Parts: sequence; structure tokens; C-alpha cells
Amino acid sequence: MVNAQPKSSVAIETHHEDMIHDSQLDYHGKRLATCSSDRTIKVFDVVDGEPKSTGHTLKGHTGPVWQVAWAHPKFGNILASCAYDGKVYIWKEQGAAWQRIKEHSLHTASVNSVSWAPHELGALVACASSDGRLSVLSFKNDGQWGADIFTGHAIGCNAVSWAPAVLPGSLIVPTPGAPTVPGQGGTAPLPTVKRFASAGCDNLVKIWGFREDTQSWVEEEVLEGHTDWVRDVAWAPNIGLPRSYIATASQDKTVLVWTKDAPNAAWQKTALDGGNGGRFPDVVWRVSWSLAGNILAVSCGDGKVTLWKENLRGVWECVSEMNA
Amino acid sequence: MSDVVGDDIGSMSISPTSRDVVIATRKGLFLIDLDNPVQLPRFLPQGGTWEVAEVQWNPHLSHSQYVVSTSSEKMLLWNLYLTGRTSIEAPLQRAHYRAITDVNWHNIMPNLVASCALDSWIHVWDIKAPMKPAASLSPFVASAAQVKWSYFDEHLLASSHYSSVMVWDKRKGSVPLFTIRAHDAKIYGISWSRTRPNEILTCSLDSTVKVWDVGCGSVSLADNQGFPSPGKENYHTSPLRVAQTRYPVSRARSLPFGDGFLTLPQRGETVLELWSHQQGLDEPVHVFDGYPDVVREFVWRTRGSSTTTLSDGTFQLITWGKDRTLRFVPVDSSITDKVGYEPKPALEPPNDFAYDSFASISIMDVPIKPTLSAPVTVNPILNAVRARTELVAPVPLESRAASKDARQPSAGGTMSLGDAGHGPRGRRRELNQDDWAKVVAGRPTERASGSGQASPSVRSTRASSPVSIFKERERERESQSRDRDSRDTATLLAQEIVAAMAAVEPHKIETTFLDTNEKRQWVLGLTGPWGESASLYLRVFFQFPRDYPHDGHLVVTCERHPLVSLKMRAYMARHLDNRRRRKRPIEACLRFLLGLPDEGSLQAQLPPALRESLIDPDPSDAEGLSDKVVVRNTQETPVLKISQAVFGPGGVLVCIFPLHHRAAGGSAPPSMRISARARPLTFPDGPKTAGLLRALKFLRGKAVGHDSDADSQELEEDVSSLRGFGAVSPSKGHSSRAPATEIVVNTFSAPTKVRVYLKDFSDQLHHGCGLDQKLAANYSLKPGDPLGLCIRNAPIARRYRRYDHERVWKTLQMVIGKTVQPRRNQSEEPQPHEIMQWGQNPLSRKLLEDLYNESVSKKDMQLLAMLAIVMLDMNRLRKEASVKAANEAQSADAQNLPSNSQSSSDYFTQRPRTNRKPTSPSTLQSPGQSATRGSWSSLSFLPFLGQPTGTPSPPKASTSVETAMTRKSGGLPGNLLTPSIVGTPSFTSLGHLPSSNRKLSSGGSGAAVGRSWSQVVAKATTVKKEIICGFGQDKDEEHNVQSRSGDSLLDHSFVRQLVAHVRAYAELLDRWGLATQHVALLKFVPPDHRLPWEHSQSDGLGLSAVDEAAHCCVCRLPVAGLSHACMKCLHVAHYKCWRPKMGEPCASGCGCQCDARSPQTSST
Repeated sequence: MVNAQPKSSVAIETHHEDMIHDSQLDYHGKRLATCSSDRTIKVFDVVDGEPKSTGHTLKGHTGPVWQVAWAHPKFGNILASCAYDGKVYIWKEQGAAWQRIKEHSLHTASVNSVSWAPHELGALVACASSDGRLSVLSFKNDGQWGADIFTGHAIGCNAVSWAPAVLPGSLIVPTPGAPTVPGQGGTAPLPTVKRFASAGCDNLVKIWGFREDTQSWVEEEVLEGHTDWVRDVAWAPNIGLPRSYIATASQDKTVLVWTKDAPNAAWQKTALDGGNGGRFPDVVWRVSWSLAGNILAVSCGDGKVTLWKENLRGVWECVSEMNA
Repeated sequence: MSDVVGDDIGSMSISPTSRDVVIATRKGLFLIDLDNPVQLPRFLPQGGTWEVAEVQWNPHLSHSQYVVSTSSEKMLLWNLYLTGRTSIEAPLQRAHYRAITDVNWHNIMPNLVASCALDSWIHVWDIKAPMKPAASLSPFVASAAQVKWSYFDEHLLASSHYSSVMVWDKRKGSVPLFTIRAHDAKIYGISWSRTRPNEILTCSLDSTVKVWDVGCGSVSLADNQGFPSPGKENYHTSPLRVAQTRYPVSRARSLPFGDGFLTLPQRGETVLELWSHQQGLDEPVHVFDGYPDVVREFVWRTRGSSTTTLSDGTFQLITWGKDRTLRFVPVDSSITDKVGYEPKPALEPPNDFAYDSFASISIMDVPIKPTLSAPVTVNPILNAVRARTELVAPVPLESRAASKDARQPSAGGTMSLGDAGHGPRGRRRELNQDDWAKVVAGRPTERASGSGQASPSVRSTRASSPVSIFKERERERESQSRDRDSRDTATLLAQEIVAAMAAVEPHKIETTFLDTNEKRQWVLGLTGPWGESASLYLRVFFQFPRDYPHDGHLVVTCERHPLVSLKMRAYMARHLDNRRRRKRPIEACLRFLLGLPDEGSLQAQLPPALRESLIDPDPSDAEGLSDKVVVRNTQETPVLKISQAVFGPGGVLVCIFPLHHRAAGGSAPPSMRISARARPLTFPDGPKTAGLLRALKFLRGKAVGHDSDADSQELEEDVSSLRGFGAVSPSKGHSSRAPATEIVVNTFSAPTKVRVYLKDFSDQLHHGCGLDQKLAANYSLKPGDPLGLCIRNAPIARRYRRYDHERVWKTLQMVIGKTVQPRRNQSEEPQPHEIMQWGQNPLSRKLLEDLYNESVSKKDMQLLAMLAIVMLDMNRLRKEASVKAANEAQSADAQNLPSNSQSSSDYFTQRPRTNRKPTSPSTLQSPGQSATRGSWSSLSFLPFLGQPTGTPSPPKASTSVETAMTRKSGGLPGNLLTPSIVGTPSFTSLGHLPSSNRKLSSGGSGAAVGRSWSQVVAKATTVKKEIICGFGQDKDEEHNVQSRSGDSLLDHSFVRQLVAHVRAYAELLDRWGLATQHVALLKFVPPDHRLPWEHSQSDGLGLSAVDEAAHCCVCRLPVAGLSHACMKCLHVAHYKCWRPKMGEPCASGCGCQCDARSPQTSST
């Protein structure tokens, strides 16, 4: 297990003319979207792990495209992209063609990260920009859309990641008077929470929550621990347990895993042992959780990707390492 | 230019409006707007491997979107209005079987085009029906080199076959009207006269141009008899006129004006000669020379006129030669006079309006037809700022302005540079505006001033020397500084503007007015970060002094914008004033206005990604300004991520890795290898060179895989810091001026060698943590029968070799099936609620708890969900049963016998016993049955205890709980543990579970353990109830307790957690594409935990409780094969049943609008 290797590895020829910055499989893993410095986005169909067709090319950005994100299919085949030109575009597949249906240009500098909220919360997109602000776009059924934009990290935001929509243990008090069936306990469905984490150039990770009463985003918590820019943040998917996990990657060559055992508990941090005095050999650019929330993929600047898993004693260990 | 168009020279043609030319090469078509030649050409890719022999633009205004070009034996019909993947409307093929040599549009009928090929065939095509030729002709003698339609007779066309010319009537078919044996050598070109219907011009390798009278006016063609028989080849034995040249003639074409023709040498000379029929053909009347290389093709630009009606008499000769340079020569009346051209009095063209609008539109600016898919914005920046939707106006403003500008009688053929700043349109991205603009930027000035032998000034017409707009040599550039006439400063100014625009991002600038000659003014619009919170669109005026590039400073003023604060305005004015005195003031000012950091030309040559990584904060900006500007200067962005990995569904890891050199060798497609070719880059000396050098070295190391260099480690660190802190100013760190450095790198291809990999890690993920897609797809998920669930799923797990799952299922089966099993043997009807007795069993509970905790610690989502559905299902059954029982109990209360209370006093089993007296006693087959009350629960779980040994150990009162319990319950007799209790056939399976063993070894007193368990697991209320039960006196009170909350075996918050497991797993199933399983799983969610959109009750669900498969909610048959599961109401239907009802409310009648995945975006 320590040097687990993939069952299969398929190389995809994207025909991008420049660096590729992000690639994302859609909700069902049937499509792959890649984006590049050549200002284009490409979408490929993936059948049985193999890309089919030459893909569609989505053009429109006027700068390198940093990230793409797929929306939940219940909203349609929708892709969000953000780029150096300060724009966030929402693309939709209509018929055989991709069309740009929305354009978000409130940011005044490069938008570095874009992320769709869990679908239970509706069509929400969070964006992080170098202008120091975060924005949340909400798309409504009638085609209207709104944007909340607020300062996140004064000197630049690098990444956003949504919390799972439903956090068990986040609700202690059952709603009174709710039962409709006799003999049934007064339990309401778990409430959904709009919450996300952002990573910034101020070495901080901040957690933002939406207050329904004031209809505004509030800074809930600040996680201090990194000594340099935080490059990426990833909130682990929840499998129904009360404990929450957040992984953060930083310029200081460390990866921290933050855990919170109960809604009111404090975040505890654990550093992954990168093998280099506790640090990774290079800047860590990206962290990504597997769907089941048990494996963490860490992409380091030295070109290696490592997979990490928490063992039964609660210690994170590297289970796989991949090179180009 | 050669970089741009490729290796071959290609061919050229002009549009009917004379506004654009098309250059066709192997790569594709390049459309160049003649009014604005420095603008990036529109490029239509072809991707062919064959050289283009001929291209022709349809000469009819009505069909000006059509262009034909050749590609070996295929003829390509281009529709320039067509966007999308290709602009090729139809390849006209399958007729010629050898390479096409010439194509010619019909001069009268706009939809006809003729082609001829080496196979000697001549085909006539109708583009309205391009599938096959409309007519085909062949003399079967020699390959055809040229085909030309007559200008006067719609049926007549001529073709050349080696040394013969044949004239055909397309109605006549396979035989030519007649044949002229015209030359002694191969004929290269033929041309019908534009003035005399019966004259045809031929030119040949034998250095002659001959004019023939084909003797057939359009009138006489009606009568075939007047024609010579085809056999008489030499009917026209002598030409009307012959012109002798010094060179083999490649082309001789009739002029569109006057009465003459222009010859083009095939080799040897680099001149074009103009001949006049009137003046005789002894010598050319005019020579255009000064071309550095052989001219390949020429076209006449009849500006302001259509091809047929010439009016204002201004012409331009445009040539395209081997040097891949487009050259323009104005032809004025001094030349046209020589061929007898008299400008007609300015007749108003009849279709004045229509024509005018046509002529003023470049094909590059022709609006895209609305039917096309992608929205093409004319200027993305503008759109963003003003939210302006474009493409409605047929003529974009700037192009109109440009054309107006260009139409002013321009002195000496200086082309207007007015519109160089056009942003590259989306559809023109294939080329780089920077490259194009740089080619233009290197343009020399008037070359007449140069004195070298290479100076190609024109002898006869000094004023109209060919003005090359493209590359020229360096030394000529030097000479330009000596010229100080006004035109020169204008050119210099234009150059500087173009260079400045190329250095900044040109697409961010929109030129609205530019005059480098008279007013010397430049008005532009740009978007800069000058607002309080957002970018603003500003209009900026540049005013240049008369001697600007040599003397004086330009004046920059910004239009007053309401959103720019006074303070900011002052700040801008100060900095602009500073910058306008610098070395390259235009660029410096533009940079400042665009919010770009100041940087040298060095970084302008870098690819964008690298350029951004090296963004240098302007030190002068940093001092004394607001936070806003600081923020703007720290536009660091996550660039140069070497590798990345992102998880997708199903355990697939999407990785981006740089492609190793070695790996690239075999598998990379040719295109990759080409791009990886080393390209020398010269960096002028600059303060940043050192840092850049490091970056390049590093990149090269990365690309080639030579990281083992001794200094690579250091470099790596250095570069990583560069990468990380885009704001780090190398100019501070390396302030010593590095010498000019020339590095040959193949590094810039490194980014392109990044590859995306899909790595399937599903196996690995499963190995440790249990997710198994196959199991997920095959597990039975039928609510209402937890035991059956376990029984069915165990073999499924076994089939897929998931023994861990199998063990879990078997354990579960045993735990919940214990009390049911014997009953089944006795063929008695099992009652759902009876199996609920598991809850009192401390061991089974402990077992479950351990199983659960183990899954939790492993984060095994799948097992957690499976445990959750079993528990939830049992919980639900129990609740239903107790509700039902409570109702019955109400009615049956009076009949309860006192004796019942004796044996039914136990809390858990009281209800069943009360209700069904006949069956309940038989649940227990132990002799202990009739013992004291309180023993009931103990008995039911006795089989679990101590059975491996068969010898019960004495009660262990080790825990305080136990003792407390014992005290409270009034001293339960320990002697109830009799070894004679029911045998446990399946008990051996317990051995699989270490946790249960542990319990077994420690468990002693059944009663004590049982009680303690209830206390540990259940909440205080339960304990309280139990105590009450223990004494069992007051039945009413007991009943109250039960109906209050007691039925649930599980704590509410625990239920919620289980539901969360189920939901998380359901989401996973959905992502795996297992929609049916997803829906089935969600049915385990208790109704009070359903989310609002999962509103339907259990009876309304598509799954039947009887059958395993889901039932279609339309036809009520089990669902197999393609099905559609609604994500909202969880109803399942056959795809073929659902399809016709798509868009209607759910067929089950639940009122749900099931088309949740339809395009309409819904927010729930």
C-alpha cells in the first residue's frame, strides 16, 4: 500500500498550446475540462477512462485560465471558469455547442479560483481573486443572478473550497414541534449550511458563513498556522461523521490538515510529514480530497503527487507517490 | 511573415470590393484588410499538406463570401461567413484525380466555377450543388494548366494544354470549339481580353506573349456552323500581336483599366512590365521594378470601383512574392494614361448605396451571421466594461473610421496604420497579434533615401516606390533617423505606437482616432484600474508635437471620468507627466494607464505565463499611494504549477504532469515535436536577465529532465521563490547590469509539454477503505426486510471477493435474525416487530457498535452506509410495529389479563406479548420462561452468552453500572442463566469477529450485562423506563413512557448521523452513475429526515416492497435496462416510458416536475 500505483493511467492529448493549469472531471466522471495559459478551455468526453473525440474548445478569456469547475448536473451541463483577465465565465452546453451564459466581471484582478457550492445549496459559485476579494454568485431559477462581493484577504485570495452542505453534529437541538407522524421523535432534517473556506496571501485560512438573518457573509473563523501564502484549501467531503477536515497547502512547503470534532470545538491542526524536516521539498500547490474523504492528494512543486491517508491511530501517512 | 504563413508561398486573390486580399497557403487562408494591413490577418485554417496552386475570390459582390482554393486534387470552397471549426463550406472533390492547376470563377454567373487539373479534365462546378461537377470537359491530350472564363460570353471558356489553347463552349460538351497551337513551349497563362470579346492572350515559357483572335463574338456562337471543325487545329495560324520579352512569362493578364496587359516573369527577372496594345508591343510602356525577389502573384486593387465599372481612376498594384512580402504600388494617371485609360466622368454607380456599404466592410469585419453558435465579441474588454452587446452594427465603428482614413489621398502610398490596435477577435486568435505587430514594427521608412545596392527604388516613378510594409533589414532602419521630413516623423511615430501597443496587451486598447500626419493625435480608449472598486473605461488623448520622435514631449490627457477621484486624478497626472519624458513615452504611459507594471521589452517577449510570474512592481508606484495600487501590483497568480492532481469520481485522479523528454519521444504527436524545437531567443540586456536566466535554466531542466545538474537545486530554490513571489523584484536583487545574453532554449515548449493523465486509483482506494463500485451496483437495497437484505447481500459480497463485507453481512444477519430463525423453522409467520428484540441484546448491540466504530475509524463510507440502512430499517419497522401495537393495545387494554403482566413486564417485549398471546410464549423455548418477571429479556439473548464454552461464568459485577443496575432492579436473580437454552446453530460465525469474542470473554451475567448495556447505549430516558419496567407495576405508566419516545432503538442524533452516511453514500452512487441504486438507497431515509424535495411517502416510491427491482412508475413493470430516476421525487421509470412524458409532471402523480436535469437551472 505504501507505494500504491494506479490501476491504469491514461494520458490525454489536450492540444493546448500552453501550460495547463487545471483539469476537472465532472460530477459523473464522464467529462474532463482542462484550462490553459493559451486562454482556452477544452472539454473532452471520457468513456471508460479514455478520452473520446477531440473535444470542444471554449474560447473567450483574454488571459490564462486558472481553474474550471463543474456544476451539479441537475443544473445542466455547466462549467465555470476563472482567468487572469479578472473574469469568471459560466458556460453551458446547449445542443452540441458550449455557450457562455454569464460573465462575472466584478473583480479587478486575476481570479484565481472558482468553486461550485454543494448542489443542495443551489447554484452558487465562490470566486477568489487577487484583488483581495471573494465573491459568491447565486443563480436563481428565473435567470437572475446576484453577487456578494467582500474583502477576504486584503492582499489577495488564492483559493476557495465549500464545506459540505450537511454537517452532522452541527445541530444539537431538534426542532421542537416538528413531528408529523405520531410516535416519532422531534427530528428535523439536517439543516444545510452555506459555508466555505478561503486561502489567502496573508498566510491565513478563513472560514466564511452565510447569515440568513442579515443575508450576508460573515467571517466565522480564522485558521492561523502557515508562515507563507496559502496556495490551496480543500474541505473534505463529509461521510456523515461529525468531524470536519480541511487541508491547506502553502508556499511555506507545508500541508496542514485541520480537524474539528464538534461544531463548537476548535480546529486542530496536524502537519503532514513531507519527509524534509516535516516540510515538503517544494512549494505545495494543490490539495484534493477523494470523494470518500479518506485520501488526500498533495501536489508539490517538485513535480510529485503524493497520496495521504489517516491511519487508525490518527496519523497521516503517505500511501502513494507519483512522478511524471 | 514567413513565420506566419508557413514555408510555401501560396497564391493570392483580391475580393470583389478590393478591400481585402486572400493569401492561400498550405496552412490555410490569410485574409488581410488592405485598408489596415498591419492588423492581424484573419486566419482560416486548412490543415492541408498540399501546396496551394491557385486561389480565387468570387468576383461578384453578391457572393463575396466565397473563395475557392486548390489542395491537390481537391478544390476547397470557403465561405468566409462561416465560423466555427472550419470555414470550408464544401470540398469539391471526387472529380479530378490529379492535382488541380487552376480555378476560375465565372465572370457572369456568380455560382459557377471552373477547375482544371493535370488529369486534363476541366470541370465546371455549381456551388449551389457542389456534390458533382455541373459540366466536364476533356481533350484527353495533355494536362490542363489554365482555365479562364470569357468576360463576355457566359458559355465560353478557354483552357491551356501544354502548348495549345482550347476554347470551349460549355454547352457543347466534349469537343472544343477549336484549338490553337499557340506556342512552342508550355503555356503558363491565358487571359481573355477585358475589352474585346474575341481576343485572348497567351504567355509561355518561350518568352512571348501572343494575342489571338478567336474569331467568335458572342453573337456568332449561336450558330455553330460558322465555326471551324475541331480537327482544324491550325485554323488560327497566326496571332494578332506578339510581344517578345526577355524572360519566360509566367502570367500575362489583361488590365482592368485601359487596353493593355501586365506580364510577370516566371524566373530571371524581378520586374513587372506593362504593355499597351495601342502603343504596339515592341516594348513595355512601363516597368515596375525594385522587387527584391521573384513576384509570385499580383492583383489590381481598383479602389473605390467595382471590377466592371471603373470610375475614379485610382489603382494599386499589390504583389505577393517569394520573399513573402505584400507590397503596394500606387498606380496613378501617369501610368494609366500610357495604356489609354481615361477616367470616366464621375458617374454615380447605379447601386451606389449598396455598393458603398459593401466596399467599406472588410471581410474581416463582416458580422457573423446570427445563426452561428458562439457569441463572438468584437471587443471583450469593452463588453466587460460597458456591458455592450456587439455585432449588431454591420460595420464596426473603428473599421469605418479606418477605411475613411485610408481613403484620404495618402501621400506616397503610406498606408494608414490607424487601426493597428484592433484587439484580436476571438476568431482570429490563431495568430498572435504581437508577432504580426512586430513584423509591422520593423517596417522601414521610405527606402528611396537609402543608397545601397539593395535599394529597390523605382526608376520611372520615384514618388510611388513600392512601400513594403513588412520586415526589412536593420541597417536600413538606422538610416531612417537621418530623414527628418514630416512624413518620416509620421512613420516613426506610427512605428512607436505600434511597438508600444505590441509591448502592452493590445487587446486592451481601442483606437478611436489616429492621425500621425496632420493633427498628430491619437485618441484611444482603455480599461484601467482607476475606479474606487473596479476597472474603468477611460478615453485618453495623446497629442504629439510636430517633431515628436526627435524633439519635444508628447502630451497625454485623460478624459475626466466621474468615478475617478480628484486625488487619483492628480496622482495619474503626476505619473503621466513623469512618464512622458522617458525613453519610450508612449509605452510607459500606456503601461501606467493599463495598470501594468513598468517593464522592459525583455518581458514582452516572454510567454504570458512566464511574464506574469516575473511581474515587477514599479518602485515609483509603491511610494506614497493608496492601498489600491499596492493591491493591483501584487497580482501574483498561481502560475507555473509543475504538477497537479485532482480527484474525480470513482477514484480517478486527474494529474497534470510535465511530459518528460524521454517519454515525449515516442508518443508525442508530430505537432508536439515541432513545437519543442529549439528556438533561439535573444534577450537584450536588462536588470532582470539574471533572474530570468535562472528561470529559463530551471525550465529547461524540467523539460529535458536534467535535474541532476549540480546547481539545479539552487536554481530550483531560486526559481521557486521567483514563482512564489511574482512581486519579488529581480531588479533589486540583481541590480548589476548583466551583459547581453543570448540563450538558446527549448524551454518555452516546456509548458506545452504538460500532459493530463487520468489515473484510476479505484483499486487503491478500495484496498484500504472499502469503496467498491461493483458491490454498489449489485447490492440489494430493498427496504422493509433488513434480515433479507443481509441474507441476499452476503453472497453478493462473496461473489466479488469482498470477504470483509461478507463477514459483516453475516454478522448482521445473525444479530438481527437470531430470534426469527427458529420461528421460520416452525413455519410460523415472522412478525416484523419481533426481530426488533435485538435491541435488548447487549452483545448484538455491542457487535453493531463495534462494527460501526470500526467502519468509522476506517472511514469506510460504503460499509457505514450499509450498516446505516440496516439500522434505520430496523428502527423504522420497530416504530411502525409499536405504533400499530399501541393502537391495538388501546382497544385491547381491557382484556389484558393480570397474568400477562407477570411475563410481559419487560419493557421491550411487553407489546408483542400483550397483543399476541399465542405466539409470544413460544418465542422462548427455555425452561426459564416461566421464571420470575424481568427474566424475559435475559432469556432472549442468552444464546449469545458464554455459549462457546457452554459453561456460564458467575455474574460479574465488575462495573459500577452493573452494580447500580442490580441494586435498582431489585436484585435480579443470576441463576437464570441456565445452560439448557436454545441452541445456536449460527453461532460459530461469531468467531469471525474479534470484538464479539472480547465481549464473550468478559460477559458473565446475562442479566447484568443486558441491563448495563441498555444503560450504556440508551439515553437516560431509556434507563428510567427500564427501571420502571423492572418493577413492572404500573402498566399505564409504562405505556405512556413508550408512546412518548421509547420505540426508537436509536438516539435521534445517532439517526441523523446514520442518515448523513446514507446521503453521502447516495451522492457517491449518483456520481458513479448508479441512479437506481441512488434512489433506492434514499428510501431508507426516515420520512422525517427527508429533505423537502424528497417529499414522497414510502408507498409512492418507485420501489416495491415485494420485489427487488424498482418498478416503472409509468407501466408498473420492473425496471431493467435504461431507466430514468428522478432526483427530486425518486421515482423510477423506463427510459422509453419516461421519454415521451419528458417535461410533464411525474407520471406517478406526485406532482414533481421531474425534468430536474433539463437545461433549466433550478436552485433548491
